[in-house]
Amino acid sequence: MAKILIADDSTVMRRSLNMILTKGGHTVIGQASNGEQAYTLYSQLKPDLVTMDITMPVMDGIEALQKILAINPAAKVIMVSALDQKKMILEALECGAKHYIVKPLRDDKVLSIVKEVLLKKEKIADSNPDK
Amino acid sequence: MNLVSLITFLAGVLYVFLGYFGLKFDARARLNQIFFLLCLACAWWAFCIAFMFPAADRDTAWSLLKLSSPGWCVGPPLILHFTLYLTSQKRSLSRTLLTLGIYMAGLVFTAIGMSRGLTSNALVLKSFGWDNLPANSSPAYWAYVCFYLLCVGSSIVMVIYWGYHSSSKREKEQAKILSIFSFLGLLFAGGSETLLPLIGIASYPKIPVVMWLFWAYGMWYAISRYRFLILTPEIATRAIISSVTDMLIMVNSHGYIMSTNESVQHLLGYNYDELLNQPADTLLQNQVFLEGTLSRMNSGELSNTRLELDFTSKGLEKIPVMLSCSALRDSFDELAGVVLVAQDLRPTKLLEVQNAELEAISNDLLETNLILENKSQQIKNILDNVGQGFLTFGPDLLIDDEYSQECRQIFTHNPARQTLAQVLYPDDHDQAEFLETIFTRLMNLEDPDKIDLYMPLLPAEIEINDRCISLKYQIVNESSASDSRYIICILTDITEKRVLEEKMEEERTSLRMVVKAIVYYDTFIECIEEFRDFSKYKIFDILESPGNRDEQMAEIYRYIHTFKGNFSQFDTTQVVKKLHDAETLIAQSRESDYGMDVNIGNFLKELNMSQWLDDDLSKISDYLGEDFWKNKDTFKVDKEKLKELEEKMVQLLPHREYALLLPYIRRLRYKPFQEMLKPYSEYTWQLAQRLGKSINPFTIEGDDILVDNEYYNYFVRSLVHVFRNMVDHGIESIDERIMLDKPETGTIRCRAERYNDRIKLIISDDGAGIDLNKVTLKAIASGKYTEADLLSFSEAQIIDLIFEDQFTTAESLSLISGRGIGLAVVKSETERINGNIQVNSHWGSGTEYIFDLPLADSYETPLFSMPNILISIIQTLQDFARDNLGISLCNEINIVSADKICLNQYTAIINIRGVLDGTIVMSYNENLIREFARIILPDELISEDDTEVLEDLTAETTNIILGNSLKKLGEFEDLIRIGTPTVTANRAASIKQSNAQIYTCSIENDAYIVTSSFIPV
Repeated sequence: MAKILIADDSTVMRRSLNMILTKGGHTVIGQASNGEQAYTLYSQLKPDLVTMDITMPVMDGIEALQKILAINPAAKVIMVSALDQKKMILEALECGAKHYIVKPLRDDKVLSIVKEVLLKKEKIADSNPDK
Repeated sequence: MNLVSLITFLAGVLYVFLGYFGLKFDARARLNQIFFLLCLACAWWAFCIAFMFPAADRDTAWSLLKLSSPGWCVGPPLILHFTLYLTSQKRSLSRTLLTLGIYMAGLVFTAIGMSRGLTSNALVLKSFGWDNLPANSSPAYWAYVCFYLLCVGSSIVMVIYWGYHSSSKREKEQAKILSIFSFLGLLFAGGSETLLPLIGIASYPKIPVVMWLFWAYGMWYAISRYRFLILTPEIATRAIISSVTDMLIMVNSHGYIMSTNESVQHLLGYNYDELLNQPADTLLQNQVFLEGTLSRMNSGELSNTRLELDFTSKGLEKIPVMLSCSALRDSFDELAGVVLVAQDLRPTKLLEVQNAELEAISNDLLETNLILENKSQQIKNILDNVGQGFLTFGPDLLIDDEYSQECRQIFTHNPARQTLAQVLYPDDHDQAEFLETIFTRLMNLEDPDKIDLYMPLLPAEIEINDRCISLKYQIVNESSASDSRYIICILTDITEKRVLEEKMEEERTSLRMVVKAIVYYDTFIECIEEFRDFSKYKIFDILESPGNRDEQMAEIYRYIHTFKGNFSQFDTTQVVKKLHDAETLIAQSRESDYGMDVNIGNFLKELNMSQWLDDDLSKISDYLGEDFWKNKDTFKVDKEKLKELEEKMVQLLPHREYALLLPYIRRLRYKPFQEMLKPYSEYTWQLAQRLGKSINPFTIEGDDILVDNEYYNYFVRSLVHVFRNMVDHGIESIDERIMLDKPETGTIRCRAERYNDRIKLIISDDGAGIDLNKVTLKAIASGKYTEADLLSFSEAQIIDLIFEDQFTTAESLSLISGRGIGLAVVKSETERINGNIQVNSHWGSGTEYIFDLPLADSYETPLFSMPNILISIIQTLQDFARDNLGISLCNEINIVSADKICLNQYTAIINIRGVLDGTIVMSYNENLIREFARIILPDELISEDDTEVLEDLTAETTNIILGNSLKKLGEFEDLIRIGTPTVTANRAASIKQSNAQIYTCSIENDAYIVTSSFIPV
């Protein structure tokens, strides 16, 4: 099972993600409350996977995503977003996010997406669609 | 006659012969004619000379010699003419003139020769007869020699020249023969006639005419050997016959083959000899054709015929031919034979077949094309009429021209050649760009998982031109190449659905409000009063009170906020919405500088707050009537209005909600069951008085059971017969009672109690009880039963007889009872409401009627809608089994409520949602599923243990039954959604549900059973 970093500004969200992922057998090795923290923790902890809230103070999820991908282009980042953030999701995907979870969180949904991203063989060609 | 004369004569005969045969080859050919004339001329010459030699006297010999001159004078021109004609077929003026000139010369020589002799001037008698002496002194003689040499010499030269230049081998050969023989002829004739006498040798008979035979023979040889005399029809015919690819068969008048050509041999595999003198029908094998044709040709009725038939080869292969038969008639017009020309039709046939194939293929193609055209037209028609918009676009994102008609309606313009993004968001550039980015990605991505990532980002619903449109997308890959990918977008106008949903939601909210108004009537009225007070007076009091505007506004704000909270409890949506707006307004004005504006007071006045409740309240009035508001402490609602309200709640509100609210409303309408029985106390007492009996007025014992009284109306009325019976027949007269040591006054007791979900009603008396003997006798007297029947009856069965029609034990009719109808009515009424009766009678001590009745109440689940669906499912099952399977499943529908369902072998579980939330469980035994299989899979044999197929069948059967059941629900159909069945195969299992009541019903016969159940959520 994977080592996961959670980045979310909401304590409730972090807690519920933590619970779901732990129940799914993963280890949450770090929790960040903003993008900058997420980036710092990523470079320190080298997690297998990051769940990244899109809207966060200080540095938003997309910026953090870009910074993380800059140091590790193969980083597996799953965006967490609200229902009406389709544009942001598209932007994140364009930047190289591997997947996204739309709130509200559901155990099975979260775990199946995490599993999918972890199992996915990295394809260099697809990882950064011609941008 | 001597030898020389004979030879000459024979030469003459030979000339005639040659000439004749030359002409016979082809009498019309000019060359042959010339040859014939030449031979004739030579023959003339020869005959004259032949007779000259043995002439009796000189004069005769001289005359004969003169007579022979046309022969040797015309001969040379004829030779020249012949040669000219042979070597140069081209007719020309110069040749004609030359020929004419030569002939003229010939004629001149003839004339001279005839008149006075030309080449001779004297005759001497020699041993062989008269011999002429050349007149070598006369110029005419030399002239003739020149003429002769010219003709003959030039002929030879011309022939040699012709032979030399001709490319034809045959012509060369002919030229060679001809030149050799003519040279010999010239040599011998000229030599013997002219040269030798010139040098003094003249002792031999001069017979140039015989020498000329060389020449004539050469010609003849050339003719016979090399077909010198050009093409005759016969030659042509032979050539044609041997070279044609068609089979040519000559048949004599008796039907025997005379000759065949090479094609016959080649195609049919026979040798030439094998066929000779064979019947022609050999070739036709069993097709006796020629005989008939021949006889018809014999009779002259037929000369030509053409038909298609089969030839049979030596190898017995059938060869289709086109056969032409032509009759050959001789000069007597008799049938000489028949020419059969047979054309091998195999290549033609092959071609025909190929042609037919080609035609068929092209027809097929045409048809396929037509079908395809039709299909695509049909598809287009379907797409155009289906009420959904369909459009496609490829990698360029431009919408294709072939979009369905509905798209135009949705977009109100032609969307072709624009991007879908532009069409969907004509005024929102950002959104359009966002959409285009996704589409571009979707067009280029190879990884299907990535595509799944992008798809959900596409808008699923959008508002265009005030219509609400739902969008679905489908990516289609035409081949593996990504550039042939296109996206289908399906647009559905769901405006009406949305409007309907909104309306329904509105209705639901109103209903909630109405129900809550009833349930929380006191609080609701209080709240309304308070709000009216506030909106009419208090708000203005506040505005006019001392203190600053901000404080006033804060106070108003607090009031409004409280009212908002209060009213939202009652679902009074309109007033809540207005209060909310006002709240926002005040909050905004307090934050901004305008907040302190003095005009806010006027503004609030203008809002007409006192009328804000009107909409909501009038809606409640619509439901409950104006009377509802009349009294402050109690409200009055029409019973019918309440019933309508209940029905609406069942239809519109989710199960959970109405289950909670419905009891409140029901209670308003329901009365205690006991109340309905009260009048009977008075009634029995009065009746007893009239009959001179004495009874105590009874009170109804037991708990208050709130029920829908209407449900029991007829039943309770029918009870009059029971009470009447008790007073009339049960309770004894006072005297009797005293005698029996019973209390003077009889007692009737009535008790109603609730147990489980049923009502138990017990009515008893302490009278005489039922006289079983009387009942038995009466039953026998009625003719319905024999004594034997009744002997076998138990006591209870005999008592039951009192409920039969026309049964009474009364000796005489009285006004009160005795018509024998009463108790039968009670029974039928009891059964109508699904109750039953038990009668206990103790002879001498009394009778007890126990009624077991359903409880017309069910607070938790409404009786009214739930069994509806179960009943319709069961009826559908029964109808389907009867009509399609010929199986009759029991007619009685007996729905029981239980806490568990016993399952049969195959069980389908389906969730239903809508006005009815719950789970339907349909459980069949395997026999029944196999019966359904006959309808669903008519040709399939299902093996013993093919559980999978049987499970599928169970699902299918359930779908059919449920689908048809819903139709029976009428207006409910649209309000129920059915899920897909989950099927399990099991043996003797059961479903238990502890927190909900299960309604279940089994219908069965000997071989089949199906249990239908409903578990509410």
